[in-house]
Amino acid sequence: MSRLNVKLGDLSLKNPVIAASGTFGYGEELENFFPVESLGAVATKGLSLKPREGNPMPRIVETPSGMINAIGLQNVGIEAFIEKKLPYLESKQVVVIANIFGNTLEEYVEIARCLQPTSVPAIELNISCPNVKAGGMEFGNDPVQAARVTEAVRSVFNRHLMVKLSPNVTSLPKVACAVADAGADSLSLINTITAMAINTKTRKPMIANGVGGLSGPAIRPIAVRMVAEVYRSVKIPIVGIGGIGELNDALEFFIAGAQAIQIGTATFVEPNAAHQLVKDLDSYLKESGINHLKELVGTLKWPS
Amino acid sequence: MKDTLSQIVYHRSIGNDYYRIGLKTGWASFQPGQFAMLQVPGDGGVLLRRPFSLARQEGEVSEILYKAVGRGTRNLVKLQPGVPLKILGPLGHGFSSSEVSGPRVAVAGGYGIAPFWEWSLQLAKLGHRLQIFYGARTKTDLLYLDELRDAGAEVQCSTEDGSAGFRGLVTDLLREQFPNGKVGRVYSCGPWGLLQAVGQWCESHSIPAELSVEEAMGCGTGVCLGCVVQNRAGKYFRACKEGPVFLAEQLKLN
Repeated sequence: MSRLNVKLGDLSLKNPVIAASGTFGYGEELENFFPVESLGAVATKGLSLKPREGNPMPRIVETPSGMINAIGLQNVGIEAFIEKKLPYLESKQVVVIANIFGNTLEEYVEIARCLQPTSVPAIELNISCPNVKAGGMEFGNDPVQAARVTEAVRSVFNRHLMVKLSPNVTSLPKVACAVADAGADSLSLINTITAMAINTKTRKPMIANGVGGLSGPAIRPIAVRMVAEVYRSVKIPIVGIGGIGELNDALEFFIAGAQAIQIGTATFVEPNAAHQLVKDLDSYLKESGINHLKELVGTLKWPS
Repeated sequence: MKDTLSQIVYHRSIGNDYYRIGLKTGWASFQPGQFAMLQVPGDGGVLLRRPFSLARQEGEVSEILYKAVGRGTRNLVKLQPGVPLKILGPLGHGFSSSEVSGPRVAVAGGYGIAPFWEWSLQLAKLGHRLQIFYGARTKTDLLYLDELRDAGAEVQCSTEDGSAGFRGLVTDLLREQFPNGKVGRVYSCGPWGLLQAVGQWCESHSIPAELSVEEAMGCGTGVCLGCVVQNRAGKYFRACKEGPVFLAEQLKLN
């Protein structure tokens, strides 16, 4: 399937379909459904310096064509990931993208430092976390903060650095440019959109954390728009995320300018979704007489 | 565990918004307490599959008992026999078949009775009789009574309004029947309040208890971490993977 291979800068993927962080565990959970190595890459559950138990229940609620989650980044911590989870992924020879997050800039750096001596070829920086020292404001909300954390991680990790952008900002192209200038190799977008659902009987939010992140088909048009806008603003590769479930969804993102895409919430509904998409993409290109996926990327015809 | 496109073989109302649906899954069997994630029609923006306890496996057909309470289940009601639905299962851990000295007792609340039909049958095959204590709000919420008796179980009912059986809570009926707690093992399925009361009663009499928790689920496969329950040390476990049946001692019951 050479018509599907992708180069995100120096990171080679056999195809453009990546399992999104937080929807694919540590890569072994869904091994009964398809071989993980059939995917372009796997983005791990978000990893923190220390293990985290996550938020109280309820953590998820379905909303029209989507869901809100506030899992609270429950994860085993970077040390246990490297010792206990990474060997499985290594044995499958799948490209691993370690999604990492910290409460402080120092935590981000420390986690990246732990990953530098491992086989992990790529980090995905989750900058949608509150910066404790900056009064709880998200790193990803502010181009200056976003650039600072990118630069700091860049200085301790010399392989592929992908930065996952939060849509909860006034101008995503500004953040994207700042992050690209700070040394990011690629951008993945979008993360979930901050949202709330209310139980009108109890007048309480439907999830314990109050607010959470909206994902699923409901956010796809917003994500497509943001990819198209960011594509016009930066030169580094873009990985599109947001409500992708099937072929046509993915095509929208490629046309908007994404070189690869991530499948997230769709995996909850169809454990096989990402694997199916790889096959469907290949058939589509073949049947459409397109020699290589890159011929599609960024071919959007903007209204003049 | 597999995902199969399974035809609806039968689908009927049994009153009070309760339905029995049979799907041709072709599964050989399941462990009672295990569940399945069922695709429901996407009308009104329904996205996720719905988790249902498995009630019975007869030949190639798996039965689910459900109550139409939300958007997803109300969409499901409309489907006729012949329609294929994706069903992922059997999932999770069910009740254990461990050796027991003393009566095997099930305590069910409402449609939490579902797994005890198959469980009664499986235990009967091994020469054991399940004693079921079954509580519901009112008479029409008591389901599967004939099936349970045909399966060889002994069933005692309670209703909150006294319209059938003992008037009051099923846990009061249980206490009355076993004042000294001489029970071998307890299996329970129902609302959280019931599981708490059952778990606490069992603990006070040192009876091993297995509780089947009901949680909203995102994926059913262990990746979304949306269905967790807490143990006594505050650690979270996934209802879909490590459960939905847990030993009472593993759970934080208050």
